[in-house]
Amino acid sequence: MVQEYDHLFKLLIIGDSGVGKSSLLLRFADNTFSGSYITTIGVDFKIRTIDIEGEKVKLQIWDTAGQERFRTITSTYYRGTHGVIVVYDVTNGDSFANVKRWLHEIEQNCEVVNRILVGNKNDAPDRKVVLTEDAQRFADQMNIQLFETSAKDNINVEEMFMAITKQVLRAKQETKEKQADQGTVNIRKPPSKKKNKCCQ
Amino acid sequence: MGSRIRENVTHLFQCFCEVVQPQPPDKEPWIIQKFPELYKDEEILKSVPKFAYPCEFVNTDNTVIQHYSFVLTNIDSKWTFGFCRHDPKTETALVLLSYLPWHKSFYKLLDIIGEMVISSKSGAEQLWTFLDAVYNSIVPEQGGSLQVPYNHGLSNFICHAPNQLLLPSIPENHNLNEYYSAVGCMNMMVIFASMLYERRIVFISTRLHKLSACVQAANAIIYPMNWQHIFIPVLPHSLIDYLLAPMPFLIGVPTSTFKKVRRSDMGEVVVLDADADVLETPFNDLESIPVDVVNSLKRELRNQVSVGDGVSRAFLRALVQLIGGYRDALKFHQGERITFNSDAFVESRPTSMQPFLRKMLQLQIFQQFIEERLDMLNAGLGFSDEFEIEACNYSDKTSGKLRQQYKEWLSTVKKEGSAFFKSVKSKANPAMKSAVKSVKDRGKDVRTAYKGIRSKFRELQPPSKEYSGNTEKAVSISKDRPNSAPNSPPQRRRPATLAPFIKLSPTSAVTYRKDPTLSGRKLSMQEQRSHYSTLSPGEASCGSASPPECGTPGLKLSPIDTDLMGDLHDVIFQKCSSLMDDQREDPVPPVDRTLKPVRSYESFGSRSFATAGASTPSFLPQSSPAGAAYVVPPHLARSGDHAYSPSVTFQAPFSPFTPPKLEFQQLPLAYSTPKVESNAFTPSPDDPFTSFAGGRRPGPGPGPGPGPGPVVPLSSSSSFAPGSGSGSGSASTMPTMPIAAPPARPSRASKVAQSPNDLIRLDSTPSFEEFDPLVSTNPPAASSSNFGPTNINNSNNNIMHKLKETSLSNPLYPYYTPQGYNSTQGNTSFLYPNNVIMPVGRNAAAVPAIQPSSSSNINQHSRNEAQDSQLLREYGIEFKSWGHNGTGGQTLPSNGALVKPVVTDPFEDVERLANGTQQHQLNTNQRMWTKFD
Repeated sequence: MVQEYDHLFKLLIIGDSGVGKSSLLLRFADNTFSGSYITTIGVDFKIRTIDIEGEKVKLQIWDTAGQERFRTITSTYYRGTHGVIVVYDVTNGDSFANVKRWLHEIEQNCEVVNRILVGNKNDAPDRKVVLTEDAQRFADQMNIQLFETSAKDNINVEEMFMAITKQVLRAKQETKEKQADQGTVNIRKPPSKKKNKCCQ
Repeated sequence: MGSRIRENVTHLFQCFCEVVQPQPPDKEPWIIQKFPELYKDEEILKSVPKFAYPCEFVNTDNTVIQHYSFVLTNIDSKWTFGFCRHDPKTETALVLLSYLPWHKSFYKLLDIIGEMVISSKSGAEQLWTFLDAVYNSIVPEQGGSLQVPYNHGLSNFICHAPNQLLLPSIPENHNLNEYYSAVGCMNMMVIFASMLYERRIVFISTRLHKLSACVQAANAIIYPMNWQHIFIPVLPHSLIDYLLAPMPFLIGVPTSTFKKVRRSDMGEVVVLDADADVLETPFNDLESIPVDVVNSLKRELRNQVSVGDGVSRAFLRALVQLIGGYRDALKFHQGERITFNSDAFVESRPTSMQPFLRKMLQLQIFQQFIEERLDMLNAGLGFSDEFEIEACNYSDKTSGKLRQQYKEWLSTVKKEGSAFFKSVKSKANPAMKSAVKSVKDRGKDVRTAYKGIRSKFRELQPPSKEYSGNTEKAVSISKDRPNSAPNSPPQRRRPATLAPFIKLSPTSAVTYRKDPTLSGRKLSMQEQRSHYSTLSPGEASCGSASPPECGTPGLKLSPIDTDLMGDLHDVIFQKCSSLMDDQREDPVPPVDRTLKPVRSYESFGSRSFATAGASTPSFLPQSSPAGAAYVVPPHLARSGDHAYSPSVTFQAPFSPFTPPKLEFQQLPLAYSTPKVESNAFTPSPDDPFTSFAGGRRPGPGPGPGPGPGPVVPLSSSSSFAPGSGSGSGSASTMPTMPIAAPPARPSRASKVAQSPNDLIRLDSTPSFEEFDPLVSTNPPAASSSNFGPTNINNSNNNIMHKLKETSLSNPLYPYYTPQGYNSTQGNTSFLYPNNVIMPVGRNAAAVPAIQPSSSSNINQHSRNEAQDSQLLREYGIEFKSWGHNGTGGQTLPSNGALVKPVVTDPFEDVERLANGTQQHQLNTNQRMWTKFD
């Protein structure tokens, strides 16, 4: 079978319910896959294939239900993924607090995972409570990229997904180079698999 | 919270659908009718047909009706269960959606519906009527049941609400049945390990029922944790891409579907073929679990009988070994929330386990488990489940040093809680029931038991050194929170002080048990219930493994005994009066030896208080608003011919003091309750125990607020009602008699008021048996006639023996009453007269005493099925046993037996017990009690 892509990346999108994860996914996804199962099996994903730097990258972005019940999201949750999109709602301070906690948690236990911080619903300045400066300061502190988006108005969504994808791709290439340098390529697994897997 | 099963469910089922099978070539399955019509969850309705026909439906045997269940997860990650029935004679599948995982009941319901559907047109109306009736019925509480008539009243649909907190057992649990018969122990263990690593796990099978049952059973086996990730027991073919999820999952996939997945896209997955019992895993998860845990799990699985909850329990014990110590890592500061210190958790465990435990901290299932427990603790909710029981057992063996602290915190926090009893109550039931069951199932090999006892002694020993050490520790603890008293004194103290009692009881408890572990378990359960500190009841079991070392228990113990005993005597004699005057203000530092008496005494008081509170809340004097309703005058209580008069009852709590030899080693514990908290016995209306007692005590009249479901163990509450009643009556004496008051037993208080000298008698009452929770007796006869002295004295050893064997101790918490129980069989269960198990509303006076005539039936009937539930109920009556013994004592004087106070060596008693000389024991009992008259 001919592979229709060079890379398959599995990303997670996390954040409280109501921050607009589904909307972001809908904005981002190909229209080829419709229907959502998050309310029936508690998990959903969207697919899109994009070209980056001449490489065909197939992205799967996964979402699970009820994450807000987790005070901490443990590393086993991220284990099989290449990157994490962490979403809060700029009009909701609590959602930002949760996100901060989760990111700290990732930082502590799972430092290799690629991640990006997204403040969604950035379309109503009067209701915005999480200031860009605060978010940016936090992002810098955690050494991650921050994007403020609006799924509703389709602002910055595309850029955000491209950014995380590039990041993952770069990480993968770096890992490959590092392994090549060290001559420790694991021949058991095809190199395309799980290079950036966190915590294992 | 960890659980993904919804609470407060209002309807037995959410929706009933009939789904037409897919019509090749391209017609998808669809719903042709549903009930209620109003059900409008489009997303779910859209999904149901997919799950009803998840794959090409191959019915290998055209005559077999297939049942299986699927699980939907909503946006809050809560589960909805779909129960399916495929009848090969029809072209439709019947589906019930419910929030309740009551597989057996729903399969039964589906069968009834199936018949109605088939029975042509006339059935249609009947079906809707029936569905309507079921839908609108009140969901039965745990252990309760629901009956809905159908077929023109000729038949009944009976739905038993399973006790969710019971461990799944074989064959009762449908899912575990399937899992256990399909998958060997080794593979079950690997799956278990894989779940502990939160892998991506796939079960495959050609049979849907096997598939979904195995997946759900696998989740049940990691109890008390819950799978927090993707959980799809049956994956419809159209959702095949979800197997590519990078997150942990547990998914059941029909074999035909799984063949179509490109394995390379899935990555590293654990795959269990439930048909062939073959497992593939790229990991070494089982190997990375600490070896001794795996070994003992293996051993237990190998040895266990295939019937009962042995399988579940084996896994539970493995988990207890791994995470049971979480309580040692709880941190509490006055006024702050209880938190969990993960480093402390890891470090408190053996080094061999630490690497694994560090990984364990990174598990979502573990995090959620801890969160859940913390939430409950911080909310002042008590909890008591099989896990905590096992954890107590286990930690007893390993003697977690912080346990004491934990208990205190718990009780402190608990104080704040008020609503929690309800939940505790219902939760406690199952645990007790199963424990009772297993205890009952065991034979009574006296020899083994004796070994257990001996080892017990050995434990009791390690003595003086520990003594001082403990004292210091306790003191420092108390210094930490010196002035918390206003908040919570009695409860806090309770845990610290009760321990010795409990420790005591196992010794005798073991006597008739073949398996000391069991009695240990039961005991610890008792502790658990009451949040007492858990001092090694379970150790009997370890001890029995090495009995040789404890060769002559009596000898070994004696040095300590003498010492401490003397101390106690002196102290009590000297201090009694002064205590009454100023004990509250006494500022002496905790270590001061002269203080010891005071403290000891206090703690005695609180102990008895605690004891009472533990097993029968109704004893709490403060508690009883309701108690006032039927105060029993002290004199009545003391009259000899009232078999279960309060005076008898109150003795029980005190008896613990009496075998000081055994206890002394534990005494330091008493010090942990700082002096400043001596207002411990001030009535505290918000005491949960209290409120519980007040709320639940069934008076001679109808019990207050009998709930629909669970039922107060009438026997216990009613039997003690007099005591508590008099207690509340005498409550006014408490302020002036601080010492007397502490004993929660009111009757005690009043008695003290009458004759202060009684105080002294306390410590000279060597009652070993009294404390045996296993020594139980018949339900208290409110009408004393049946249970006169003669009865007791003449009661053949048989009876006594039997009683001791079968009865159980404690029970803060009432049990449910199985609806189906037929209360008319007095003979089959003479131990447990019918009324004992009747719901609250029963008149206490109606509780019959033992029918002597039935005693001959004991042996034949003791194993009757009915006794399970009866036992359960009986479990709430531990005090009865004391009352019983007390009765014997009371009556003795009138028989002209010993009248002088006799100091009995508890060890003697043990020896006798071990030798099975019941009569001796009886006599001892009687002797002991004579002094009370």
